Amino acid sequence: MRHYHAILIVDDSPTSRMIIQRCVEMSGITADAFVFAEDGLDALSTISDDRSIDLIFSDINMPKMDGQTFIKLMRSKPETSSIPVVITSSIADGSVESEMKKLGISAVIKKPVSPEKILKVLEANS
Amino acid sequence: MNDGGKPVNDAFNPDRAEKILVDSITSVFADMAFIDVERKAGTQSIEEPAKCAPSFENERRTAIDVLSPLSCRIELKINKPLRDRVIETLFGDSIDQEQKKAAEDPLLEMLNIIAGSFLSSYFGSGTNIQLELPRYLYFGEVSPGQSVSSILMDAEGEPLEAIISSVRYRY
Repeated sequence: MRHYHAILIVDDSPTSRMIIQRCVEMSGITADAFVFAEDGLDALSTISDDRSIDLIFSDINMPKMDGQTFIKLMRSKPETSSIPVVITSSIADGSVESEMKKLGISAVIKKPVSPEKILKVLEANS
Repeated sequence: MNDGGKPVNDAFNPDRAEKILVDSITSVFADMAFIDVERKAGTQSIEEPAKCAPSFENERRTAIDVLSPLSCRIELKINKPLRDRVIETLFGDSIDQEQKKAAEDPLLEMLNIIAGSFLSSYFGSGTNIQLELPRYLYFGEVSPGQSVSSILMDAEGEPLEAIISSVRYRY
């Protein structure tokens, strides 16, 4: 059973945030807290304030700051560079995976998210 | 100036696009809202529009603009009963005031996922896909382009229409 201190879900869609949280819970993964951000800018501020975050689910196509920029900036800071990130996107195809690999991320889930997809990607990247 | 992707042209295969779009819509409605959607028998592409268009009571129209690899708009039209069913399935009885405010969001997110799935399947893995954020169309707003496909579907008794329009965006 996987347990995390705090899981951050970054997505501009409230529906998507809710579905990802629900799928994480249904997958058997537990967390002391779920934290949410509406875009990359919001997420950067959140991970600076909350040092207990130890897993991030992030969308790519978001207003204000997209997922790629958020991850690049997050990775550039020593205190947040090692937090595992799972990308969730409606256009998670080969080009997205290739772009993400450049950022050191191989955990990509194509929406709609499901508990099975979450478990599979976390097992493959543990 | 970014002219975006190429507009829909002769290389675009409406029959193939319609089949893939139907598959994407069916899959997303089933996975996210547990609603079975199927293409209405006898409906044709825009070149042979259905003789009897369904009525959309209090219609909700959502649209997402595709910037790359081609320039088009994907629009989804449903009625209020279907919209309510989607929200009820996703939020259940636990819906509170905050969620009510966000209750228009599920349709946008579903269209976003449908568009991503459709484009990935149509153009294949590795294609650079650029989407705008999905949004609602209000007050009879007319799509700026020319319809190339119009698909009528049935969502467990409620009508659903998907439209692909060719658009040339300029920024």
